[in-house]
Amino acid sequence: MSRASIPAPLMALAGLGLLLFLLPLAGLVVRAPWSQVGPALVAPATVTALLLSLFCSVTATAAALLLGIPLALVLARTTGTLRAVLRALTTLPMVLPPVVGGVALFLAFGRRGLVGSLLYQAFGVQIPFTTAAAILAETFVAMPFLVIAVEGGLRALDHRYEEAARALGARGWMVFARVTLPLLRPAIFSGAVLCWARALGEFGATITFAGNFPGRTQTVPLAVYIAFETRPEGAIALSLILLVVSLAILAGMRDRWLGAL
Amino acid sequence: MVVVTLLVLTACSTREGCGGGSGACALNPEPVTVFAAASLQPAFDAFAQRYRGVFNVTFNYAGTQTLTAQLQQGAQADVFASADTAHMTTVQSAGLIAGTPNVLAHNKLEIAVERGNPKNIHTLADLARPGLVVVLADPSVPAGKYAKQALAKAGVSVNPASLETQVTGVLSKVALGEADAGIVYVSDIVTSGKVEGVAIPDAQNVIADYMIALLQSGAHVQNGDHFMQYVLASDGQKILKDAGFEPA
Amino acid sequence: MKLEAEIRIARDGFALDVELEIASTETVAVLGPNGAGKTTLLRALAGLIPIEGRVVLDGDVLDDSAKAIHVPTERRRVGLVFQDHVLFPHMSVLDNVAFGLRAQRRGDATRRAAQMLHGAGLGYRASALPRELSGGQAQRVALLRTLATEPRLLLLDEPLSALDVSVRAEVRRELSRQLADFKGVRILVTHDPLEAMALADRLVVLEGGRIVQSGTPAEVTARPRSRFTADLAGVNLLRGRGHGDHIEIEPGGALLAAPDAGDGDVLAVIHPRAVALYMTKPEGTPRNVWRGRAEDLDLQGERVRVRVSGPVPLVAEVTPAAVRDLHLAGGAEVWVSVKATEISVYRA
Repeated sequence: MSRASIPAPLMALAGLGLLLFLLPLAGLVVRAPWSQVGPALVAPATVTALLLSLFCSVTATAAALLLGIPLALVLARTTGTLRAVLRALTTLPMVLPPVVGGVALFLAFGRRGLVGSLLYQAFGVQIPFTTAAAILAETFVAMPFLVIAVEGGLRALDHRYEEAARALGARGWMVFARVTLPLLRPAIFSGAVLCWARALGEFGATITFAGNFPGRTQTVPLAVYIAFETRPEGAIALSLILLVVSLAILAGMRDRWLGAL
Repeated sequence: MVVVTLLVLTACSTREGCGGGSGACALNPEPVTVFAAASLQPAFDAFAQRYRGVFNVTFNYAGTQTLTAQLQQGAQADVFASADTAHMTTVQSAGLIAGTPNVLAHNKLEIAVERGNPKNIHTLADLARPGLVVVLADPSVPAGKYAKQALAKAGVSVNPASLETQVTGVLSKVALGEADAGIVYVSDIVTSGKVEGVAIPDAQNVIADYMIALLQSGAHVQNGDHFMQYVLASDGQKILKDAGFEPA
Repeated sequence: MKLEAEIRIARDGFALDVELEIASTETVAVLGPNGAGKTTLLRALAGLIPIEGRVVLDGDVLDDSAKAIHVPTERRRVGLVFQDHVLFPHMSVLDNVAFGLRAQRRGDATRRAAQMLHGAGLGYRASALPRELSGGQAQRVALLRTLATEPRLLLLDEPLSALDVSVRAEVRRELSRQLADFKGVRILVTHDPLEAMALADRLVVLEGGRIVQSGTPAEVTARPRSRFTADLAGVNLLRGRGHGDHIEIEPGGALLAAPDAGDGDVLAVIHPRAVALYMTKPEGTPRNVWRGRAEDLDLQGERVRVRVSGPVPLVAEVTPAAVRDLHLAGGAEVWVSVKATEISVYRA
């Protein structure tokens, strides 16, 4: 269906949808105190929050890739009730309110938590209030996006490629590394981008589980939240910076890398 | 005080079957919307419960800075109760107050620790102990601002694990056992019951002045006025005292 | 080398139950309509699906459900060629061909792969990606990729079906050569009788998951055991050389008038229904008329297949009444005629 042949009512609705995305961004750009953006950009607090956000989101994405791709593999190859259960578990963080996720993380990894208490007693290691906690919170909420994208990619893959590889004598690991993974590249890439974007914007779980401290756990969303109540202009400037950074990265993605996205 | 009591009696007697401040008042509770600092929640909830025949209160509890921002953005309410004078002044300068603010109550700071005080914390100086997990409210929150002042007065430098956006966040972290100590209000410790308090000597402490005022934007300004009078009356002040506040 | 297989599969409302014994001295084509179970059979032999039964190749037990033995695909040394090549799209032609050799950890993988490509005349495409190849080239590369690992059992799933008719002949020729040179057991699966008869020494007809007939192409044509076999597989296949408007049959040299005979090696297909038998020499339009002898009769319901010897040995399909009228008992002399337009000619 070429664009010219889309019925008018659908076009109108599409236009409304576009406005929904465009207006808030336009509001941000038009009402922004541009004169304050410059100083806000170089303010140490901003740079710290930005660098921390980038560090945490990238690390969370790396963790998601490491754990999520194998998880997607298992999901794609499992059938029946087990698959339904696994699928529900891995997508739960997507439907859970982030703050609830934060509370749950506490109950699992806090000093009194299920696993956290063991870590604390054995090694004196405390996870909450650390950068690791921020990364953990971000991974928790963002990994499902990667898992779903990669699982979708695996399902769409012609299983005969792997059969051909096996018939040629390749064992499991070689099939995965030389055939499956390269063919999954577009799905992995778009999944990673979605995951990274979600991790970057994570707020509820982070502030609940990791707390708020500049340089350690105060990512940009938290910094904006706090600044908004005391210095709205500073908050807006910070929001703009994050918007520009995100846009730059998204725009820099080539179409063919994104595949499904 | 007499005037206030007379006002209360007059207000009440305009309704049928209305007694004194006993709470067993008539069947048409007045709707009121109140924006109140988070630390006021236990006291105000108790108050609303006691006078549920008189008022039908909708509360919005949050950090004072959050409420201030909301009001500045145009949120509507009848009454605003802040945890410090600075934010009340901000709201007043924005022309949002009707009349003048009154002092609602006072609050002091106290160190919250786990029940039994397992880490043996007795002074503000103890908070600087290495390895201790201390949580404070963010300086943008009145409680956080006061805590900073108190620590400065005591000459103690602390490395907080987190700067919470609401003082209740500090309390819950200590109550959960995730933080060893936090600096909160006396009222928080009194009403929590899940943590123990370690007193801060007056020389180092900071007196927080809670203010209450009517808002111009409210839908039920008269009701708001009644609410404010009730809260400032002796019964209301007693409820606040029971919650750990110091009367106005 | 021999393949002995007893395979039973039941799933999704489909059942396969076959017994096969194939020596490396013959190329076997498993022929059948779509849904007969041909691909399932191949996949089972490749080890891709679990079976009930026993599969033994060259003395090695690959499957034995009674003893819970199942050798996984990657250790079976079987070669699998798919209908549409299934070359790894992200690897070059050379890397595709070398893949199996690399899986075997051979140090000379690249060199051997290059050699094979060169030998097949495809050396100049070594660095191309599969999507840059023509259908015929891709299928030929797929065959090379499989042969590179020197499998013991070669399984071809409709190797020519996805190709354009014009390209088929060329690939069929090369396939024929490769199959002849192949030392192991080879099984080809197809629904195209021409493909089967041109490449195979023995046909196994599979219908509804069961083998309904097995024999040489001539045997199957003469005595088809089912409607399918009679309709599609039971056709006459002749080889010869085209000369424009006629074909010179090999061996024997008999000439058959046929339109579009072209030039060069050809295959001619004549359906038994198109072969007419007469008691006396017919005068009419058919150009192809000769004397023959009715050697054998096979009654199949309302149709009779008559094997007729002569300059062009053919099988004719006639009615029982015709058999009576012509007194076509064994050995009777008959006149045979085939309309030139009923002869389908294909490049060999």
